[in-house]
Amino acid sequence: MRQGALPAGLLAAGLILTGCGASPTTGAADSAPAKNPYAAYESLTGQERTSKLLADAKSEGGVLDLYTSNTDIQDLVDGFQKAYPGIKVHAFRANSETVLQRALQENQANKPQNDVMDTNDLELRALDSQHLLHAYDGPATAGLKDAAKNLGGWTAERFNAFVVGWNTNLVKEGQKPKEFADFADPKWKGKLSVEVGDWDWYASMHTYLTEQQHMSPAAADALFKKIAANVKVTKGHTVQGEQLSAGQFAVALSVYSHTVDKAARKGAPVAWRPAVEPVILRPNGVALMARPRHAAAALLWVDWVLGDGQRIIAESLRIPAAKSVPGYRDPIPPGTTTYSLSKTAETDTKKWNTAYDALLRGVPAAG
Amino acid sequence: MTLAPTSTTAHDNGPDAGPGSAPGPGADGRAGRLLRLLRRPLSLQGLLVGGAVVVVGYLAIVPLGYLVHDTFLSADGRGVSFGAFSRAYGGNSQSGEMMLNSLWFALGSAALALVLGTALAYVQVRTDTPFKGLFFAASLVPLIVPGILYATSWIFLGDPQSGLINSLVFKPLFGTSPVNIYSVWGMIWVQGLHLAPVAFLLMVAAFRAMDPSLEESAAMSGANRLTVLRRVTIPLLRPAMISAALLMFVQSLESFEVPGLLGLQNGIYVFTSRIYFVLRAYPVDYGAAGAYAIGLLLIAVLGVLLSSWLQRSSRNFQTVTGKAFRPRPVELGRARPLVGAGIILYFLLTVVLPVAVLVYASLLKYYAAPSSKTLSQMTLDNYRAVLDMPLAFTALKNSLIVGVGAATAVMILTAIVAWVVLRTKAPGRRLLDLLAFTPIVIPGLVLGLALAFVYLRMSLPIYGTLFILLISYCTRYLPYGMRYSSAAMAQMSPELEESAAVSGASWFQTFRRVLLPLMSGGILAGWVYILVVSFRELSSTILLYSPGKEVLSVLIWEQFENGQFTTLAALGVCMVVLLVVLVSIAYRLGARFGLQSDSAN
Repeated sequence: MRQGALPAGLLAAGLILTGCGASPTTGAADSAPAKNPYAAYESLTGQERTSKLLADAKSEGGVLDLYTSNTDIQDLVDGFQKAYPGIKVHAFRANSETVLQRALQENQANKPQNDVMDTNDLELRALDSQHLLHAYDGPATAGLKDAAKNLGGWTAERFNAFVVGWNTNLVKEGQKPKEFADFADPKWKGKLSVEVGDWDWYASMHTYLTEQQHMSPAAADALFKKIAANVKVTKGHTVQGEQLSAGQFAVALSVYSHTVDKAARKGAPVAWRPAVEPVILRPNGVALMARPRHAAAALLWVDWVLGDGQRIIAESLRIPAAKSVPGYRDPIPPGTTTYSLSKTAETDTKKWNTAYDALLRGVPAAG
Repeated sequence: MTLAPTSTTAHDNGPDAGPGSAPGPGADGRAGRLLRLLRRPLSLQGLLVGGAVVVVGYLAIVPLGYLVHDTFLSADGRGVSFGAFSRAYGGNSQSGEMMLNSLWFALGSAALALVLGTALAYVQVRTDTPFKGLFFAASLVPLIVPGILYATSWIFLGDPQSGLINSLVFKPLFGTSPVNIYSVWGMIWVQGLHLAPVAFLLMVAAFRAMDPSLEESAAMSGANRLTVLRRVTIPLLRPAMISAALLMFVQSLESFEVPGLLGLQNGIYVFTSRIYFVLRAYPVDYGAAGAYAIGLLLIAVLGVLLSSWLQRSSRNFQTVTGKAFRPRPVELGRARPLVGAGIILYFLLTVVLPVAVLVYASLLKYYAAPSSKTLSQMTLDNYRAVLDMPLAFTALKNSLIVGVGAATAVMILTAIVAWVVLRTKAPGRRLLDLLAFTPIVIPGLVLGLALAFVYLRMSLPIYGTLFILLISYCTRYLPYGMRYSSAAMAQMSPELEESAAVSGASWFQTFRRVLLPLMSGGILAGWVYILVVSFRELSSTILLYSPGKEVLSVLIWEQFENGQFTTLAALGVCMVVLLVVLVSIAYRLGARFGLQSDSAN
């Protein structure tokens, strides 16, 4: 019987198609471009720089291709297009893992499609390690906080604050949690929630405990284990925020400050101040791609986002990277301990991701 | 068994006779027919059949090849390795326990959905039940509501403390709060209800294509209603039931929406939570993800083999023969009000409650249990926000184009391939059947990566256009189309084609004028299913879409990722309304173009 003849031919054809060429996942695109596409502009400043960038951006086609995991990107796009009406921004939005995968795939295939990347720190670090980014050194860096600069190929444009949020009907005055370690108390059993994908929060918090509080890794693990025994695991920050408002649990251990602030502004019984320390600040950054299709537009965008655009970031209740934004009040109360992953910190995402998964399932971390 | 309908064909062997039996002359004839077709590659038939087979094979093999390549490639990139399997299943992965959870969840959901869907379809097609009109659209609503929204509605209904069912019904009446949605039973309930339309659509088509005279003969011979149901009706529907069960079982094994939202709270982890974690890390361990997918694939292959074994005597199911028949409704008599009440109760539970929660949430500023305060503060702001989304209309247009395109392409392709699988003796036809089923186990992200990989390296301008989404959806829904088409084809007796051929019709004429119209119920059901689910496909879409080519699921994702649940609810309500209208139009058009309805033949 030639039972397999028909699919065998198809299979062979398919394998040839997928098998030839580079292997799908190995082989990094680490070929840094020989020529710096931004060279013509880097020495310029002030109006001269902006005029030249705008003119060249228009002659490039008046288009900017932006990849982003920033869910408030539309406000920035609108602001930019208002400032520079001749430039059209095409924003590809997806979660940070997808944005990363897409850029990696396109660069491996030698068909880079985007000019600017706007996503979370760990994804930017991953892209940078593949030499896909071009460090920004424009005039806007002068106005940025120290924590936002000198990060390698990317620059922080805003910070997301992971805070502990609570439902004010369920957590009364006087019972408010003060420190993260308090949540190990069995009285919180079943009243806490974490989100299943927040391993980056876990990485920061764990590193904070060992680096700043000088806990031994074993002691930090033991603390997390006790806390994990008290938590309910949810999926998705939006649903988590809504469940917190509805009182399905008392405390969310890892929510964004702006999620709580937006809900509170609408009247929901939620709060996060006075903050349970530490507040984890996760830089979200912007980066020029090393091989842009529209170099002038890319530079124009980054100049703007790190300059005038900071005002829009502040309006969406995020924490801007600029030292000062007119009319902006820092949502984090003065004197609050904050923490960001240090530049030397362990950023092996696979390790943290695996450890967080094991923590939530209550199994030993060693896999 | 004496179920085979009266048939006057001369062939002794069904087309799917076991490998041990000698092929009969008819089978040879059919194999010869295919060979003749293939020998005339430039004829219309040759092009159609060959083209469909090649396209289906190509669609299925691209992601499968990518997956297999990544799974078995050793770390140095040269040899073959099974390391991915130990990474995926070994160590602290608890894979055994999770597998059991998954199987329990998937079996329970598939069983619940099958029972519900079949019962509903029977009542809809074969009885003179009241509320027929309402019935059909309402049956599909759970399918239309995106999974994340359906599960979230149930959270607000079935939370043990604050859920509305507990706080508004059980607490005041009985003083207890027995409903806990965060349990395996809660997960099965939600998933089962969400999947019931898959079974419903398939079974409606199957019931419509069934000759009631068989049941009447049984009744005349003295069998009571239950016996008729057990010995005649259900056995006749076996191909459709097996197809539905298989689809729903594998789909439940593969889904993470319900287990993610409901199971995690009490630490009920399923298999797919492993895939979820693996795919979030960087660098992604595609080998481990592939090892999980191959685990699912083995289960799915067993299912497909089991189903073709159960259908081995295919003649037993061929209810559409040369004899005309007219499905006549069973008169319910005194049971009619009871059935009517049951239907109302069912819709109250599966449609009205969850959709009402969505509508209610969509009118609020933030979710809170109903009270005079929340009711007085209701607003349409969320709907305004949806309409103000700059991409709403682009996304709607693109979703429609891709959804209709994928549904049409898949159903045409699978109708032809189902014919090849069920009607010819072509070598490798079973493998083709299996191959067409494999996309169901490929994680969406892996499918997206496979397509990106191939089309980034192709000079045709496909990457970055809507076309790549179309290809992705065609691949993803191929298994569904295949099940819908082959369930419809299995009911058809070959004598009809033979009569057409004897009367001088060409293959294409026979296919277009005889087979397609007779299969139209099943094909339309598959078309509707694909259209509806394509509106919410996200996992491969999110990697493959391009700016300016957004689809609705991307907007839903944005709101889900970091937005307002109330706005998300408003978006969901708009989608439900839109799709109910679309589906109704599809069935109206279907009726105009000769689709069998329940009253006419």
